[in-house]
Amino acid sequence: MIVTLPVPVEQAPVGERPADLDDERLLRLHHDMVRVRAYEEEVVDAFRAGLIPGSTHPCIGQEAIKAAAIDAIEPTDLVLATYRGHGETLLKGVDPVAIMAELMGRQTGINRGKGGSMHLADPSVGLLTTNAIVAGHIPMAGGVALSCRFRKSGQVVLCFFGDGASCEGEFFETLNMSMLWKVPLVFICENNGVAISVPAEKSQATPDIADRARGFGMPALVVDGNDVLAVRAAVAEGVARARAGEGPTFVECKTLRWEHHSGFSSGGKDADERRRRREAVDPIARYRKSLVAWGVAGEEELAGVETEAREWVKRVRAEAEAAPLTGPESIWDDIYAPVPE
Amino acid sequence: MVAVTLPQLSLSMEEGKVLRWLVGDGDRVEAGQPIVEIETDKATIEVEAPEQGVIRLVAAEGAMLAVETTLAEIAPTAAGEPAPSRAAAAPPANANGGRPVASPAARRLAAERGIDLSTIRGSGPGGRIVARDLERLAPAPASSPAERPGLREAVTANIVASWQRIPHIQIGGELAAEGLAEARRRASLPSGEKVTVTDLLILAAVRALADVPELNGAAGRRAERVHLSLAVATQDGVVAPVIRDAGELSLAQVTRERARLVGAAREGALDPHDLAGGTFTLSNLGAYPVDFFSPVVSGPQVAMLATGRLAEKPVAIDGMLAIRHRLWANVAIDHRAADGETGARFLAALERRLEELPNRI
Amino acid sequence: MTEAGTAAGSELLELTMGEAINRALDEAFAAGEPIMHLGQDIGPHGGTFGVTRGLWDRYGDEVIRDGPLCESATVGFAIGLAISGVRAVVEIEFFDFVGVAMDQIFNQAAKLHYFTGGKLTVPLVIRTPIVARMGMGPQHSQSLEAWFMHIPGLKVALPSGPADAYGLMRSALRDVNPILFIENVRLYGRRGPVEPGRSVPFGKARVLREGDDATVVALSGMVHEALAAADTLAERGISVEVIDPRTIAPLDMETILASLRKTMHLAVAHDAHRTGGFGAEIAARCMEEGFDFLDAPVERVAALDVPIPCAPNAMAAVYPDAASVVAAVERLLALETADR
Repeated sequence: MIVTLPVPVEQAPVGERPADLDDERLLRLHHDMVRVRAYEEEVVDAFRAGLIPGSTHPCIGQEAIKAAAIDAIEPTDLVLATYRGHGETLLKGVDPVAIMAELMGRQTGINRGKGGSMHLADPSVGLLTTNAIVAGHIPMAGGVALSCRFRKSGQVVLCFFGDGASCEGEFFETLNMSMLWKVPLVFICENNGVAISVPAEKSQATPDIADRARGFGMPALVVDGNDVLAVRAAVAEGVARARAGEGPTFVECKTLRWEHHSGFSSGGKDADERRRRREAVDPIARYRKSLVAWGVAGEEELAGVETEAREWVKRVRAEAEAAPLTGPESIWDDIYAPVPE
Repeated sequence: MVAVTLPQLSLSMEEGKVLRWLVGDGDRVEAGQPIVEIETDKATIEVEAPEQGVIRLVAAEGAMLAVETTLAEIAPTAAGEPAPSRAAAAPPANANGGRPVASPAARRLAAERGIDLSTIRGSGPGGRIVARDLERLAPAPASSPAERPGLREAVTANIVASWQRIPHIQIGGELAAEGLAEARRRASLPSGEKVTVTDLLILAAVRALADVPELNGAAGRRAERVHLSLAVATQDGVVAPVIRDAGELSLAQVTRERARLVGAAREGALDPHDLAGGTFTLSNLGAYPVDFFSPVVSGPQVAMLATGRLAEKPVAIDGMLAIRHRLWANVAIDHRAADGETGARFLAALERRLEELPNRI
Repeated sequence: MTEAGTAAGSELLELTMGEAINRALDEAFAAGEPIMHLGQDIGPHGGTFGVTRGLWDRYGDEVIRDGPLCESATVGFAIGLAISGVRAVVEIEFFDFVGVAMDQIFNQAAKLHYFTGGKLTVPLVIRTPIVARMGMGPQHSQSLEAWFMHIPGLKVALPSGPADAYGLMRSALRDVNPILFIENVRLYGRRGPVEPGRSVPFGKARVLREGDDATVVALSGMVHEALAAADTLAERGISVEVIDPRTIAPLDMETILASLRKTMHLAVAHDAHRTGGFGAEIAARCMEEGFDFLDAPVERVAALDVPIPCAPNAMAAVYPDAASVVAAVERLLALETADR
């Protein structure tokens, strides 16, 4: 079924509980989404308080895609993502305090404050890098996947990007090269219907971005990006194909961006209308509805997860804020890597 | 390349002034053609080109140069060859609002060698003074330009530059020196340090400069205070350490400071601070059978006092022969800063100050 | 890596510059560490200019990997390989095509190490030849090294002969930084002695010819023009020192300044356009760090600021040559020149 928008929560069918996921797994997905939401809301708050220099790009409303995809891979698998990548960075296992400190330009940041919100990286947990150039990381993800195949490491690579990136030349080049060389890569396209301010109908020649992948002969799926289990199933299919050495898969997730591209909605005439539209398709609310219906957890327990997440992120923020700011002391470091003797 | 040098037109001629070029830079000249007017102390003469060829002017108009200094160079060309045109016209090197146009390297070399850029004609584009123009005028010292010139080289360079640049007059006279002699007899310090004639001469000269302040100064500025350079002979040549604020010192202080500086000079232990900032120089050769000598003013100072031996001489007093102590004093003066009359007044003042010494030590 | 040879008793080989680069690549591929070469026409074809000849036969498709004609993603893939355990070499067929891959080079490869706080390293060599003076027209004739010298995080090498090409490629393939290795089509055929095992370090210029009157700093193809000019000037009693920086990032400015202090006259010669070229940077640094030793302004011997035309006589008017270097030295020394 081709879905053009996320289905509103009220209308979304609950469906069958997936047989291959136990309660713990199901609850973890909820927990992950809630944590990402709480984290991003705290980031928005910190940004408005002037603690985050430059800009930041929260993924509020798109948590299902992040949680589902990361759940479908192993800790040894690798992820490359965009500047809207706090969610996957967090869920891949990068220290939440180090992420927050990086956003705040602190010496304890994951990149020592030198990269900021758009340049997070922790190869030790497989989050190779996020990137500020739209589509800039996509061919790099292809190369990482090629490396895994070449080294026969058995690893799979996830590459997250948006509908805007899917118009860049490098994106098409990478689709071609990935299929040609059968690299173990899953493309995760978060189509939230708008690239900065340009809506899809002004940038997409066909309704589905997945059509482009199909043009290169690549298996492609289109899913409701706000249905966490649907996304998980699609990504898992791509991961299995990649791990079997059968090449890349394209997963297009239809979703909706809650905030502006990077600035934040600060009112305006239609602010209430927009909020209504967004909350109507809230992925967390939708999943909660399913969990309760299946008897996996009660409303109170799930509400408790949200409370706990908000308290957690406040502690994270406080710890990050306490660290010293990065100053000029490190500007000359890491321009060149030292050459081994 | 043939060098045209400043000829020595008489035995006594030591220097001459480039009055006026009669040809332009880059012109073709014939052998025997007059190319420049030179002014000596005796006359103005024309110097002729020794060969035919294309002339490159080196010395600037107005420069006072020593005999044998290169004035120009001639690149011999065969007859009938046209003179190649230069890439740019050559206006005078100091057309830049009075500041000579010179490359940074030329400036550095000029500073290192104590050469006044306004005495040099540039051969670079637009008349720019370039490094080779300094090579022609004064060859590089043995040490490479990147090293600091040694003390000796610096002193020599300054002597050469002073000799070339400064128009000297010498005013001398045999002065009454009974006061000096008596002061020497009577002067003794509680510390037992020995007071020398030099110490007394320093005192008198400094006081005389208070009477004739036109002779105290350096770099064209009359100085308020007297910083007296004292010429000291050392193994490596003459150096002139400075007794700072000599006008404020007592005899004891002068004696002590003189002894310190002379000792340090002889050991080669002077530092650059000791040698800088002098406003007037005293050179005393009275330890030798020397009455008179005419020193080279130590540019940028304007005067130097040369004294000979303190000796008893027969003099005529009221028509009768008598024996008195006499001292010959010669003051060399930069004639641009002062003239003979100033020198004469200085000698008169010096004589007075010498006579009053016994009462003022 | 030092310049001292590492293979004791090895004999000198007589190789062309293309063969020398080939040999250095061959040694790296034979060494057994994970390494891959991406590009177009590098496999069975052996490279448009033959530089990778024989490598595909020896190492096969997986390693000497021809691919689609898309410089941007090709360099992107190479970066991906490099940051995940596979040393990468990419050929961009003509230096002029580097524009297509610019973002990957200056925004990604150059900066990954820095903005990840040193966690990712990018052992990547981008090989590309200057195709100057071949009459191929404006889009196939450019020397763009100045663009890359401008980006912190990149290293840039321009060998001018076989020994340096071999030695610098050896160092490049042991480095862990992104490197623009700029070759030259007109120099590929130059023969010269090469000592197997001898690496040339980055950041060390070479004084090819000593002199006292003037210094010429020359890059790539202009090195040989500068040497020819030095010969011409020697007949007139003018002694010219010729310096090849070999790598412009990192740059050995100390050797250049020492020469300036000696000769006091300096010219820079390159095939790139004059405005904003390598010569401009050297002139600025000589002024900043050697001002008191400048007896004349630094001369820049460079291509005119026009797109390089195709027709031979037009093209010849745009590029500098040995005569241009001679004229520059004459201006430096304020000598008289015959009409040109």
